[in-house]
Amino acid sequence: MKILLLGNSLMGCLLEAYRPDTHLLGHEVAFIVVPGADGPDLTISGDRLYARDANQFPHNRPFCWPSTAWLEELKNQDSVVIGALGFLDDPQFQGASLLGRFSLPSFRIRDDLVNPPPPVSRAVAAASLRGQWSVQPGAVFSRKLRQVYSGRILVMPYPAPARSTLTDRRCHLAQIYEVPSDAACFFEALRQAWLKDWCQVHQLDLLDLDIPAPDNPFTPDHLLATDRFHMAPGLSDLILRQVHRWLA
Amino acid sequence: MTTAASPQHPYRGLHDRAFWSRSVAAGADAVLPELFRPKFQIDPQDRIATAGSCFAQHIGRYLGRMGLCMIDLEPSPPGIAADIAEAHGYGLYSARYGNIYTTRQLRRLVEEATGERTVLPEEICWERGGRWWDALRPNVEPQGCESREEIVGHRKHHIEKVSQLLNELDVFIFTLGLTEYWTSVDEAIAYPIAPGIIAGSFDAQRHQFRQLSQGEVVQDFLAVMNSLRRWRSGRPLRVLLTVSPVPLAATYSGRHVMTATMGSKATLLSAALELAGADPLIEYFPSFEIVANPWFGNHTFAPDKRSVTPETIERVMQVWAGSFNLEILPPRPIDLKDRPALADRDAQCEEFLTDIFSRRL
Repeated sequence: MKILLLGNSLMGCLLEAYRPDTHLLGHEVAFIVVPGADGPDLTISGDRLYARDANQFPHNRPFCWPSTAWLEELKNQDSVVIGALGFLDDPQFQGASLLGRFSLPSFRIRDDLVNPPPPVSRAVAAASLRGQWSVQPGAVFSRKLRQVYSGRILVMPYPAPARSTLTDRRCHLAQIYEVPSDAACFFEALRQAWLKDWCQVHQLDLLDLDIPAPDNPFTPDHLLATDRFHMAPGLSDLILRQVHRWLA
Repeated sequence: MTTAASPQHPYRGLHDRAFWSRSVAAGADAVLPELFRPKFQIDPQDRIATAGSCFAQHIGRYLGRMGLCMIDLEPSPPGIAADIAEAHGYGLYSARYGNIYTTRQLRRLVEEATGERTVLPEEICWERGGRWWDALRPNVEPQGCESREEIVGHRKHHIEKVSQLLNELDVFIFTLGLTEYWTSVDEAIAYPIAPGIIAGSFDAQRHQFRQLSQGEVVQDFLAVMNSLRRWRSGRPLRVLLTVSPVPLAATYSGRHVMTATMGSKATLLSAALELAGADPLIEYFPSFEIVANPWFGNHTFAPDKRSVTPETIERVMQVWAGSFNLEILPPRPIDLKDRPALADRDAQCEEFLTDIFSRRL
């Protein structure tokens, strides 16, 4: 089977961990990686993929493996894996974080927070997050791909946050909330619900990563890179093995 | 021989708009362009705030389409579809206060926002089924909130924004809706809806029904103006009053709902005209007269005889635009396939709920 794995830097983690003699054996594998904070920013025209002008947007310069992957028409792929969907928070790039756009007084707000984001209810937060996830480039791309491609599409979500983000003051969870774990559980449950709904509506298969467990919505620290955002090789390896199982 | 000159009298030389036979009898097209001559102008750079009963939501939407500078200090968080945002009180008015039906409700809000009155949490937190509502704007969270503390947190932010709004606005457009309201027995709190309908519970020892007289409506609004002048250190503002043509959904007055409606609207009209007649910076816009008259045909209200038809709202706002030399721009395109509810959305209205819930109980 011909498998195309495409996505942003999180897909880059998979590419880094990918070993042809270990992963996805029996499949013809290609990667297209377009860095971007909240999903692959790609367009589809006809049966081909296009990235933004690398001269104008050098940070979004695509990486391909093998180098001819870019030339392959979509109709020749048996399955496509997209990563990643459901971006929520990134301690490195706070401006991109969805969590910094409002605060939830139903979880206690830190007394020392100087300029808290506007307070909203849980219902409003849910509507806002679902709307924002649905227009992130990865989600938009997955919807467009479904419209033009009839093969199987697997979706790799962003990993759940690490428990250590709860004390990292660069993260909005720790900046805003007195008890960040309660807020984290709420947001992660919302995200999982959106991912399931999105994939069901658009007939995509969601890789649930098997991590975290439902009663523990955190990714173990050792499975994330030191930036607490990208996947460590161990998690990338787990995901590649899960993709293999899904395709079997 | 001399010819007898026509006798002089005060009506000689008046414009056609002063005569029924030359204006109203000639049809709506003859009436509308001459119906309203504002005594002050609104400029595109004026910062405009809107508030009032649910009819005011229509005014706010149209003013934005006229290229005017509408203030919105509590905008919707990103990503929310317009119909969901409106159902949560976003984008309806200049802050997220929901519908303000009476001048007493407006007066209490302004007193709270200017620090003249303190509202205690126990006075405004309504509970039902373990969830909590802000009794002074219960419709902005249809499903309620998690706790009383959350209500207090939301209200603190809201009042900060209203304080800012009262300071920043240049023009305040207020639509008077009702004279009937429910209040705490000490009259410190004016509720937009009776306790027990959305949440909370009615207690005859703590709550009472009140009906504002014409004089009280005037006094309330003058108190609002005085609070605003103090808060703004005397900086002037212009006020446009309108009266909602939407009939009462229900009355507790003991009268028939139709006579209660007409009485209420007469009181509000009289008060608005008195206020506008006494202050060069307060104007009255006749939206009520455009809608609730028998002379423009029977198509101003929808079949429920309460909702104003979109065509009539358009007619009201065309008069508005013409009077201020403005143009109504086309509405922003809406993807009806994605959000069908947007096509026929109603104004968010607690008062309507009074009728619905009274039938269910």
